[in-house]
Amino acid sequence: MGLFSIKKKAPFEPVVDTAAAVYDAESSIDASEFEAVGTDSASMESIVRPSISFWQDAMSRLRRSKVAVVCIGILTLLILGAIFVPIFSPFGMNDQNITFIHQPPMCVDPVNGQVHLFGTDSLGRDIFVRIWCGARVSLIVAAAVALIDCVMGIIYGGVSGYFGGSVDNVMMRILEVISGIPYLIIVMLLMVVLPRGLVTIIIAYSITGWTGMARLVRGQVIALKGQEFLIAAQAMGAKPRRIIARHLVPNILSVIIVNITLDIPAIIFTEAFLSMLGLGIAPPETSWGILANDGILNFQIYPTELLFPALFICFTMLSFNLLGDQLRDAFDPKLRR
Amino acid sequence: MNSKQLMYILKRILYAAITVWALITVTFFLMRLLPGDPFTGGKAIPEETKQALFAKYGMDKPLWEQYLIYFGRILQGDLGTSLRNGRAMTDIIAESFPVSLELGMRALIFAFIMGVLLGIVAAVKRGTVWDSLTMFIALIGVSVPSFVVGSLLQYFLGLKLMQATGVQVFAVVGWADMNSKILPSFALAFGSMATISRLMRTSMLDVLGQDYIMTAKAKGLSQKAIIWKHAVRNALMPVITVLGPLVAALLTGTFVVENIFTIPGMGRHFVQCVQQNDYPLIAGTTMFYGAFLVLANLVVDILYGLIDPRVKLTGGKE
Repeated sequence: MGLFSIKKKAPFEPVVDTAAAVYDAESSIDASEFEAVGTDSASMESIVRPSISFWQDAMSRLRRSKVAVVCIGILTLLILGAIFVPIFSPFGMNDQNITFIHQPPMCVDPVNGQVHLFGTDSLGRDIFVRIWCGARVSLIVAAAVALIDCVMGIIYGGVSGYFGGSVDNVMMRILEVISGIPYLIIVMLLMVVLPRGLVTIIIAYSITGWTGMARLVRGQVIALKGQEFLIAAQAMGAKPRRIIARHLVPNILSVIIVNITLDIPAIIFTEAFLSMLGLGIAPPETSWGILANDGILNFQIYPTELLFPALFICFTMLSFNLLGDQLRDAFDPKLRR
Repeated sequence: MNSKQLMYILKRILYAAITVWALITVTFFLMRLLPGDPFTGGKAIPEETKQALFAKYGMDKPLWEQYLIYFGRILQGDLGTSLRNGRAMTDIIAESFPVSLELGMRALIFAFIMGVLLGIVAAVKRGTVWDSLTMFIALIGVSVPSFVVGSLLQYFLGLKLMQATGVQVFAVVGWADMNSKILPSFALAFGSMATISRLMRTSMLDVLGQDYIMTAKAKGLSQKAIIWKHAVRNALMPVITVLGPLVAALLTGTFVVENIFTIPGMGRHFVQCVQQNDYPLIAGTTMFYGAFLVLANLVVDILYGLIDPRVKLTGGKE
């Protein structure tokens, strides 16, 4: 904001002789044409544009990204399909027709005249409805594990980072040992010991899965610890629990969300992997891993039986990966305009 | 090597030892938590026979004594015996682990070299078609599970190519000649290659924005010299840290890849003994894998501490 403004501009004249023109121009400007207008402190303080919070800014940037919108669309469809397709499908998940096995996609069922969109499997079951039932399992596992990891990670990492000192030291040493144990080995071991099923997968994955989140939260909390708003909260007598939950967590929520989005593909993959090895969901329940495994057995003769579950796994993982990348960009304050 | 570095290494070794101990303990108690006992298998056997079996395997002793005996055995290198065919764990490891190790090493070398090269190309040609192409490959790599990659390769390059050309270019199953080793190694390496290339690209872009790269440019160094002598060496550092988790990913990846390609390695073996509920073997394999991975992580950590002088060697605070 300049203190002086030019009230009247000298008209622009095209010049030929540079030296003479400069002299003329200088001589033709009269000092009376310039005058101080002073400052208007009220208008200087006024905010011209509407203020945009961090979240509004991030969301608007996310909406502008086509990739993110498409990913959110795919994932929404997936969730809706997982809820509604098994309800409205003309075929049940375990309806068998032994005389109608390994049929190609788009075949018409001889019993009720309905179309098997993705064909039938080795027991004459409709693959389409089974894939959506598998989607239910994968999404439930992903959501539950992500939630548990998140809560455990925030509490452990938050406490460790906030208190620091010897508390931090001890907690980090414990964490180091836990995360040193290869998670898949522990998961497989637990799957052997516990009864097979959805709950077991969730427990087994959660036992080791939270360490990454705890590390992340701790790092972020330590970075925020010296900031004034925390000192203010402490000075007003807020208890550590309130400070962590109300002051620290909201400030690191964006990092947590990005991390969860990028973790979910790994969780879905682990479920599929375990079910494939016969360690995950037990039949007659189904999951993408079981479907893929069945497909691999018959792959050389009936390739579509692997192709469809594999496509669903790939697209889901792809969508989450892309969405995670986009979210990271959207939340990045360095990219803020 | 100064005393600080020595302390760092000793500390890492101590943590590794604690981790392995925790793993052994967890495995032992989890195996004891199993419902029933390993002998009956659903059949009713006479009480005396059961007692005799319990006595033979030392299961009539109190739990802590069993634990100590078990621990002592492991320290002597005895990892247990199969319930199915009576073979010792150590024999099985000696027979099948070299196969898995070879598969893993091939995949590791391939994933590392290809991943780093793709990452460099993407970063140097940032914003061009090459960048988009390599990052697209990387995205496919992180999104397509290894069992899908393996099956597709087996179908198209193993089966269809042979049907089309009449020559068996790539074997579909087994682990003998070179042509049977290419497909499994690639299937195993693909995901890790993608992870490395993404990481390398980010790290490379970070390094290329540094002041010393500007200095090198201002000095008039050639593009080649800047990239290979100044940028790549520094950009490699973060990539080396993921080598530990990478070894773990490749090792667990062998479970699936060996199953698909019917490779007589340890991963396939582990899956079989899990499916057959061969508890001593499950415990033995778990500990072997666990110890191996902890060791791999330890080596990477120590190497990283020695290579990069910026790593704080105190170990305590991060």
